[in-house]
Amino acid sequence: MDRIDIHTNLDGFVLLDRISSIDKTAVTGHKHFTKAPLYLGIETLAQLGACHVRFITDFEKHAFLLKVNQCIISGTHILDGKFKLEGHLQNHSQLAYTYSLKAFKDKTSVIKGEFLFALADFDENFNREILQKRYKELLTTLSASKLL
Amino acid sequence: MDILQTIQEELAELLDIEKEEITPDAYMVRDLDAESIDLLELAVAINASFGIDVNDDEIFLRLLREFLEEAKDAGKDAGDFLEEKYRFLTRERIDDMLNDLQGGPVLKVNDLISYVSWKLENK
Repeated sequence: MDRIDIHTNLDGFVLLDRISSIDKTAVTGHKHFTKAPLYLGIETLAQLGACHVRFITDFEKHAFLLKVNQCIISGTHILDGKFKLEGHLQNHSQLAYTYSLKAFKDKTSVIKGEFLFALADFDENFNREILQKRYKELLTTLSASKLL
Repeated sequence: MDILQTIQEELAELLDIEKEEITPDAYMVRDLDAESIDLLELAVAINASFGIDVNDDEIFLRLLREFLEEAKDAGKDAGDFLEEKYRFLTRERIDDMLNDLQGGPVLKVNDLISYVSWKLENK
């Protein structure tokens, strides 16, 4: 099989800088963007939501973004500076979770949308031992991080 | 709240079809072309509309064929076994499903209505 290199122009895949609060129904995160395109803001919100889904399901399943509904962008098309990110669990079933996720700059909403996440069992493609440990460590690290 | 009407409205939006196509007897996959992503979204919408906990495995009969294998391996009657697993379905409906397995996925809109009704009664 040929190797395919994908260049994202990012230093890493984790975009969140910090998670400052998390409970059963809500999560708050932070991100300092430097002249970043909007899609990175949407991806950061998706990472925040996925973190929360894993947290409330005790990291027992693989969580992934399924769909974004009603994504509203206001103001700028370039993200620059400190952003506060908020996620609120809206509704859920055994295997699917909807969130209202928003990114604020200076208390003004810049991106908001309804994000749908799904859960799947770990398997040969999504290895439990690797991913469960990785996601637990990630949440611990993000929760302990200082605001940049 | 009219359960059929609410489910019709949710499905019409999700599947981009006319409400009139969504009859209680319509098969979710065979007739309405619902895919797994649609079912996940529908489960959340049902949770939002009716305020009930939704178990995707139960409401969408996801484990039906596994249960049939399990019943067979245990030497149990398939109908009796499914009746225990799917308490929201009548024995008549289970027998219909058992006679209809060759045609493909057996889930019907009416099965969703039965699940929601049962959940609301046992809330």
